Amino acid sequence: MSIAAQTASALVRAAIIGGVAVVISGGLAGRLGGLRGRAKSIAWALLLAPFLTPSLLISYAYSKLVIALVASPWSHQALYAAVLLLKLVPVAVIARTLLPSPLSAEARHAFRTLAAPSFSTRIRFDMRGSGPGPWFAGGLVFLIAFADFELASLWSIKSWTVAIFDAQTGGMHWRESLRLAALPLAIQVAVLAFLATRTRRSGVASSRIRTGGNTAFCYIGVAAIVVTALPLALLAVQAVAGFRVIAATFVLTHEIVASVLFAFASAVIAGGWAFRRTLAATALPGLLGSLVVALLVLAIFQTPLVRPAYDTPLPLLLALVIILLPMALLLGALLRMRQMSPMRHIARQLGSRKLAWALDWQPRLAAFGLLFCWAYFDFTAASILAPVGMTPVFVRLHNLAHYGQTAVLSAMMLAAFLVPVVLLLLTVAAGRIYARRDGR
Amino acid sequence: MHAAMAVENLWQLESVSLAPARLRGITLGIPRGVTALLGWSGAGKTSLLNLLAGFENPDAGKINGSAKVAWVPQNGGLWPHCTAREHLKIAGCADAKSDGLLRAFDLAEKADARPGELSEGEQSRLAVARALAAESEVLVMDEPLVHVDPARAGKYWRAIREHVVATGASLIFSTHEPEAVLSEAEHVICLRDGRVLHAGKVGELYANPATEELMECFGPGNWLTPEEARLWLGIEIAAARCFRPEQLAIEPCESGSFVIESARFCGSIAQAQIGGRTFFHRPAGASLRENMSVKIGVRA
Repeated sequence: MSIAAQTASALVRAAIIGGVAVVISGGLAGRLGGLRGRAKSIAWALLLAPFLTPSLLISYAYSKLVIALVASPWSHQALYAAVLLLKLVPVAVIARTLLPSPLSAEARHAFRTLAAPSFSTRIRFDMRGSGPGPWFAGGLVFLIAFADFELASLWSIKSWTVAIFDAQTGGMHWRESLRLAALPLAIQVAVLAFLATRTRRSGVASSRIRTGGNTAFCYIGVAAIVVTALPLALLAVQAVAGFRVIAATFVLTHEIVASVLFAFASAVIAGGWAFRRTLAATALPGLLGSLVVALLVLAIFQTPLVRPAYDTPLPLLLALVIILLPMALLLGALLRMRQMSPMRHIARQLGSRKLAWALDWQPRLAAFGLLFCWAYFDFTAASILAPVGMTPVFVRLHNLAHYGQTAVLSAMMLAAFLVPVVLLLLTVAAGRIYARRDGR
Repeated sequence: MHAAMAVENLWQLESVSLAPARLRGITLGIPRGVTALLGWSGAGKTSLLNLLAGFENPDAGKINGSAKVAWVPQNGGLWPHCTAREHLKIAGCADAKSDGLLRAFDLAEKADARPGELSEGEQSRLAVARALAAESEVLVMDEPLVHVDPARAGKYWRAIREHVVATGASLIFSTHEPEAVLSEAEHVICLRDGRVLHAGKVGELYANPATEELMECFGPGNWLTPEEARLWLGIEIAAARCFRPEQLAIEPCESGSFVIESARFCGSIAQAQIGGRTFFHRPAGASLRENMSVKIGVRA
């Protein structure tokens, strides 16, 4: 299958996933917008879980099912598209939360009850009144689905990303790899340009819609179970027997340390930049996907001026920062929404460490934690750019995962997955202790 | 019994509740004509109107009645991407009638403006004009004209009244203003903490409220027990009752038995503090002063 055909196939698949994500995210964003307190935190945590679950973990857990389906290409493709959709719907929900419809729930109801019930009138009204939210939601999901590499690679899905990566690691010159990527890159740039035009059309006052029923919660629960809980449970069951072996000879320490260092540094740089700024243009390169970013960074570090820095941590660090920036900017926008609240301002004036922790530090730590995990779980950029002697853990695990499931590999994978979780839990615990010692 | 009520009433509510504790087991008939909803903030006015407009569904109980409703929500529910004229057109209004409505609500010059370009008062007026444009059998309005300056609100209420008379539509609206209820409504429903305190004719509630709390629905009044009526007014009454400010006369009198402790002139009514009690009365002017001897009487 040629690159053009694989690009067309990925384009159709990503368009369908983007469209379905737009439909699903409308109800979810409305329902989550109406929640308060602990229910809101739990719902958001469950919603984001599929997005944050590493593709490697999902693909490894379902590898036997995938092997069984390889003979039936349609089922194979359908499973891949369904899992990708479940993983990416949270992105659409975040986009629609940040860019809510300018139509209030009351305005929608007034339209339904007052206006002539002609289908074309309704469609025209919805198209004009939806605001930029659905376009951005669909556009972002399209871009990520179109550029997916890790899940496609592990499940042997025909995709332009897999073809280019295989060519690159097979020894193809980076110029030739980039030439192959020209068509997909043009499609991505066209989508980004279209999204930029939708931004200019926005600017109407917004209000939140609180709609949707329990179907939204059912969806969130099912997605979290299928993409996160079930793979984790399968991994944990298989890992029990393997833990004894890896406890005796743990061979991943070096790789885990490398992953933590890269993830920490890139999260600090991307977060430090994006939590204070709203420059959306800096997110654009990252939206091209890890593979294209890694190839472009590779190309940059092949130029004579910076060639001496090629075999250092710098290329991978730069690629990770670029990859993190879109999410960092989204999180920064969410943080700024909180910063504007009078509640937070009063808490600052009072100088209470407890309030500062709850309203200020904890959300920032959560945002940093997300960036840290995102960088820690990266495989694509690391496999192309990691310097000799600093191979991140997921590159090693990815290579081992091609040999199938074993108890030892499951234990190694679970250990690697738990490292950032444990680190973040320890940081949260330390922060809470520090805040409580203030007494007020 | 219920069938007869269904003919008379626009809606019949049977044990209707809305969580969390916004409406608590309301059983109520809402008649044709003009009905006002009165109550303090949080009483359940918006919740009840949301149910009648079909915007929300009850968590328990049922609502019988299915009239075509034109709704004016509390926030206006305007369409930010549509001009004022488009609002009326989408609601089914012909161009000529649109012009009339825009003029009636002083929006003719803003016909091509979108809600974001209108002031809050103009948005309130547009929301009402849109509801009238729909020519529905029932108008449900949640604090209509709330942002309109009081001096001009009467003009727009007149436009609503003329529409109701001309089309035979029914109107149910919520408000905090007793004057709007007295001048516009035939029926009134008083709510408190999600329960119905009273439902009946406006005149009855104004003249003869059953409790002090109901009296306060229509603004300040004087609630006197038989003993208090004997002490202050020198008259005999069978049971505690309300004396509206216009029913009391507090006048300077050299030989009066009471002394004014403080007095405040508030325009159409005045407050006088006498013997540790506040009386509301209709003054002839700002004539009462501290330490002045007065007599209190009931106007004929």
